[in-house]
Amino acid sequence: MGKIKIKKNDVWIDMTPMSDVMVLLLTFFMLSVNFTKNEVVKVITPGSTTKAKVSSSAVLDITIDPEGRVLMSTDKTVTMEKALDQMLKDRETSLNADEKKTLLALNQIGIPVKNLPEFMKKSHEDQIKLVKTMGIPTDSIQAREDKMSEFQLWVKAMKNGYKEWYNDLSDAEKTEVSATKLEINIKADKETPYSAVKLVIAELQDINESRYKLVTQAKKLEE
Amino acid sequence: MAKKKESKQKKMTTRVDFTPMVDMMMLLITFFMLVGSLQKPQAMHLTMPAKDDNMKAEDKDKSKTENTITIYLADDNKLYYYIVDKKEDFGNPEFLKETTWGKEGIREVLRNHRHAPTKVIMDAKDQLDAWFNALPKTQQEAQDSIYNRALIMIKKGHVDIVENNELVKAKYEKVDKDMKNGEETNMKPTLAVNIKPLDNSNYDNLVTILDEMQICCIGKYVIDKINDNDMPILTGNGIKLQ
Repeated sequence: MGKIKIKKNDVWIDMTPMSDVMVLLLTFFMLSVNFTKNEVVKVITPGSTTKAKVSSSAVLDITIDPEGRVLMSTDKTVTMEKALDQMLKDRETSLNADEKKTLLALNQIGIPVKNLPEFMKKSHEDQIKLVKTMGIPTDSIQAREDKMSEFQLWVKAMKNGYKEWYNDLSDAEKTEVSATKLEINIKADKETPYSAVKLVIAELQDINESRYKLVTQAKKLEE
Repeated sequence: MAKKKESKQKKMTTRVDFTPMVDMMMLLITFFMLVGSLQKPQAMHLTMPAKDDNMKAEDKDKSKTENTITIYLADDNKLYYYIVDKKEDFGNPEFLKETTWGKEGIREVLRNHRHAPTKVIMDAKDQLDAWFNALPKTQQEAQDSIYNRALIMIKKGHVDIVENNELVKAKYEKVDKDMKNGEETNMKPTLAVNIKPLDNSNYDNLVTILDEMQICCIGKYVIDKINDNDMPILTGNGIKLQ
């Protein structure tokens, strides 16, 4: 018996159809993508069958994590900047320009203002750890005459910041911006106890903010 | 001989290897899949009274007791409802019943309420939807305000403005006029819901019950605090408050 000659097969595979499919998929993803914001504290929102969508601009997101900590963010950096200046003035704290910039880059505010100077000296990793454990205080400041809490001050400062920015626009620019004021979105985790949500809503009611949007995920209606 | 030599000319292969291209595509797709979320989050509108002390006690009790249902959201995703016919009976722990979430549980309770069943309203809303969806796309935009106004009417109990999947224009206009003059008549009883979440219930429960209000077309509902009147009902049934 002679040696069995193994025939060498040509293993060339035509990749063209594969590449076609890939291009299609890629186009689909590129068109349908909504970039998720890079937030330090993320929550899993509950599901609902409502059709209305969350507006994509001029929103103030109030995040309540499962432990009841409150954080704030907005899509308008200008608003955040103005609010931060206002808060620093109110709470008699100061930060330099660089520190402000790094703070704003975090996208989410969740540190008592008094602790900010100390907070800014920490490394980025430590900062993120701290944001996850602190939150904006919701208890009223006894030293203040109106007994407002820091959380309430933040909401007011954000609202004013947006209003200032809006009023500075020229008339032509104003027509392009659809919202005249910031909308409040409450974004709480599924597991957040109701007591924490109740507290936030009560604080908002106190400063005459009575319209909110609850952020939820789409869910199918069981028939 | 000369012919053979000609055929020996080398043919160029025009085949291009697409594998690197596919590799790159894969990477890009993975990137887009990781970085983005497909669905935009849904928003649920919630309006609370501006300040608690501004609300008068009489405003709270405007609805008849028999048309009212109180829903308690408790620890461990438990759900209770409380229906009484007479105001004097409120506080008797015997009337508290437990139910489940979803279609078989709480929705069935709301649909088949003894005095103000929401299934009448839901049916009218389905008919209104059928009418609206049957309209051509170009007309839908123009009729949008009518649709929303009709929905408000149905939620208030004017279910007779729709018939056989059609909006009855004459009746709609009559109700519209009556509403402006504040002299509405001939309304079906509508359900008023008091939602009372306990401190140890979670946010998911609250959103689910608010969603149920929308599914059942309930126009009158309020998120309320647990007060002294509720205490005997809850403690009488051994429900943990904290």
